[in-house]
Amino acid sequence: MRNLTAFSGIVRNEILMQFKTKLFVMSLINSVLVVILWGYLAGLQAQPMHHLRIGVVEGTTVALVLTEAEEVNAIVFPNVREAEDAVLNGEVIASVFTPVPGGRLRVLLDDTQGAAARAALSNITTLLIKAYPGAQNAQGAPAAGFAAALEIREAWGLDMNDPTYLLRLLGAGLAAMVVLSNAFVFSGFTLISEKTSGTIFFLALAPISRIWIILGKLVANTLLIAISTGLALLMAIYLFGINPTGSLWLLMLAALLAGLGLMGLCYAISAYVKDERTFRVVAGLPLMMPMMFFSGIMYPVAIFPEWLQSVSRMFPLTWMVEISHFVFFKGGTLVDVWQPLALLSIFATAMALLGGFAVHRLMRIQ
Amino acid sequence: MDRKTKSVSVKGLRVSYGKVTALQGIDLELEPGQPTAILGPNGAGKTTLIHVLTTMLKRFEGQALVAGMDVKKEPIGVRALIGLMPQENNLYEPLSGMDNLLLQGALHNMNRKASKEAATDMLKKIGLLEVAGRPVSTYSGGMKRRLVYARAMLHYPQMVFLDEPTTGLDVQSRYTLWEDIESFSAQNRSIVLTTHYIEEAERFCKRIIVIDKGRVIADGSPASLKTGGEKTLEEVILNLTGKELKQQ
Repeated sequence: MRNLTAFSGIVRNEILMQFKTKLFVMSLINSVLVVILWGYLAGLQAQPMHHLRIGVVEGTTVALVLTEAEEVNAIVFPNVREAEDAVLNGEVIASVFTPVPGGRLRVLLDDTQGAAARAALSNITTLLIKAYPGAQNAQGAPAAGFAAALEIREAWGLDMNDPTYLLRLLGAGLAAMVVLSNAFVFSGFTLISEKTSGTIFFLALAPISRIWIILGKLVANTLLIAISTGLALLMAIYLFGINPTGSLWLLMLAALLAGLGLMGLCYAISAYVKDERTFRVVAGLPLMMPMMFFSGIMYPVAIFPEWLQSVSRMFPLTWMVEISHFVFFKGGTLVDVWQPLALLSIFATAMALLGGFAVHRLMRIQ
Repeated sequence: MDRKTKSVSVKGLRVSYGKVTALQGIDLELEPGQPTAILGPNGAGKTTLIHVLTTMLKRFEGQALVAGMDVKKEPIGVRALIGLMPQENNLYEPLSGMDNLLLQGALHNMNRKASKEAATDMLKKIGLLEVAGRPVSTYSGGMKRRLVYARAMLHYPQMVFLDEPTTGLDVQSRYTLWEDIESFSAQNRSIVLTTHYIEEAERFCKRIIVIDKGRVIADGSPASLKTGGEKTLEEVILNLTGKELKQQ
């Protein structure tokens, strides 16, 4: 009987604890969100990607075929040059045109887009086979003549048939993932630990302006992010087999700016939340997870529907992944990446100020 | 701090947390080198007073000067002069005892060599030199408390605030600490402490200030407070603040 009473006490206490600490609700929300996000992404990849933007040249037969088809989102360009440029600058995922009169039909693919590029190629060939009489054999496969008439070119020469192709694309997103994770751990969790242990108030007692304390934290953690990013870049090169074609310093700069901004954001949140659990709920679920899934780190942004692409374009990590693709695959220089770099600079400045202000305020209150 | 400047001068100090008033217009002046104990029940406002004097709390009415400096206007100057041993053992637990002290030295503009010497000296004094390289997380509660004390004293402050300094310490540690506090005070440096060990306050402090419900209700030497024939200071406090338990 005595054991039973103790047992029931433990059961009651355990349940109360899980509810009072919000772990029960958090775990539930966490599971639902993960299933929804992963499931949604898996679903996207399984569905025919009819929203993929394909460039065509005005007045050509191919343009007529593709613009009338529901399976692709055809964008018409006035000439071949513009259709090609649209692929190179990421405006469309592929362009279909005949480069010279009487020449072969060329499909130029943005091969940095992984699954989306493959889906675009599949959509295009399917449509063309249907549209051109004699383009398929008795089994419904492309006839030999059709294959010969089609010239498939990769804009960046990543060799989409190579078994390491998708791995290399993942490697390009590795640095962004490292920055995201570091920023959350180094700033968010650490500040909360400083709050709960009271060490932040010890620092506040130092006879220096608190700006120096905040700067010290930011500089130290930015340095750690630089080291992690450096290691991530080495892994991308030696483990994931990427041969960078642009300047890695640009990517390092992007990582530092993204890291600084994300740290500032995490400082701001962790200065206001009560404990680590609340931080996980407030910052982890609505902020970290969407950035992880929808910034192009693991899945190409092009596979998302238009509305989600618009959301994704607002994430600083999307800008970093864009720079990463330029540096690793497109031989990017400062001229190519100045726009995402400028956005990252604005984000870093604004968030570092916001986080600094929040930590400054935190050190004043007790 | 010269002998003419009051170590602490407080006029009309009021602190409120929302609807709760923690300090209700306190006036105080403390002499340099005079060890002073602030006593009172839990929630009386002792820690709030220390937070104001150590520049940790800025939302207050009235004036508070430490060594002649306004805590609101010259907080950095005040912080350079003082040391604080808070109630909590707010240490960097993954770091070693030595690292915790070296940080304090750096924050107070001591070079690495001077910090290391001062830290070694303090660690020796409080009996932690042998474990100085171990992470603080492996220390006992008493060891952590001693380390917090060492950190407050490391940079030779002119004035030190000790909030419940001996809570959780064994007899030997308390003895060592008091010995050090006495030698600190003998150098004409000021000590303000709060404690629940009233006999310690009576023995080591020349001035006792009793606070209750945010007001000073008694102020004087331990002997001068025993006006009603009480044998101990504890009886004085109980008579002044009542014997019933209070909500904080």
